[in-house]
Amino acid sequence: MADRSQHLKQIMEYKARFDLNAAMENWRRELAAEPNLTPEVRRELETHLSDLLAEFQRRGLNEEESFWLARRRVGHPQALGQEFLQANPTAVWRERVRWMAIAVLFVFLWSLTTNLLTRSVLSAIESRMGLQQRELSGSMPAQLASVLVRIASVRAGFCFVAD
Amino acid sequence: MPSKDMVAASSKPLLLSILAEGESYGYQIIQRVRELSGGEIEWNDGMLYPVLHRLERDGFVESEWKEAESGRQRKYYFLSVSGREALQAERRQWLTVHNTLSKLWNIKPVSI
Repeated sequence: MADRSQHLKQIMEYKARFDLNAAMENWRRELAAEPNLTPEVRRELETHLSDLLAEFQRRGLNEEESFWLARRRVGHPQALGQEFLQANPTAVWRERVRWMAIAVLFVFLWSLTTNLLTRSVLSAIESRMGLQQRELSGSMPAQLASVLVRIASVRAGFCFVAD
Repeated sequence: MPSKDMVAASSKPLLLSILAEGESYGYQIIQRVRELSGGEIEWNDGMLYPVLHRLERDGFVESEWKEAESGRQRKYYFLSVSGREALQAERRQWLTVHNTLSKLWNIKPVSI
């Protein structure tokens, strides 16, 4: 019993000890989750946090106090993201559209592959079952139309950014 | 202590003037503002960066990552030619307001 409570005490002490590296890593993750903060801005904010940390430690605060105070001084990641969105909406949108374009390209390639697969499977079935070509070809214009709509939406996105 | 609106409105001339003294980085700029205002103008540290980036987008400042004396990489900002012109325009505007109020408050106006 005494052994167990000793163990529990050790765990609690371990948990209570402040880990600056882990805290920094958490903070970095919070910043990275904010879509309006570019990697360069995040790097700049991190340098600022480190400068504040050093300043507070020089003034006699411990690691933990320094970290929380510095974190508060830099500001809430979400609020910072909002400010950046207002300061430079075009840059933020350019970044977003780039990711959207990549996602659309993936969907396009994926649907192209599945279409090809489906067609080869269908033609295999067709040749087995002896179905009429006319009955299957009906799906082709629909596929073509969906591809054209995707291309048009990507173009529209770029035009929006160019504005 | 100046209101939030006053702090926001004066951020542009303040930043341009500080950078006119020489290149600087975010943390140092905040320290300088605190020192100059005797702690009366308190900037939210993180909020300085969107303002700096806006000035950069407008072509008034330029920036460069450089290694500081401490060995840490920092993004330094410096004034561009159009930034210097913008500073002169800001100066005229602020002094006009200052002189108008000075007359009402019987303070000696300054030459613009």
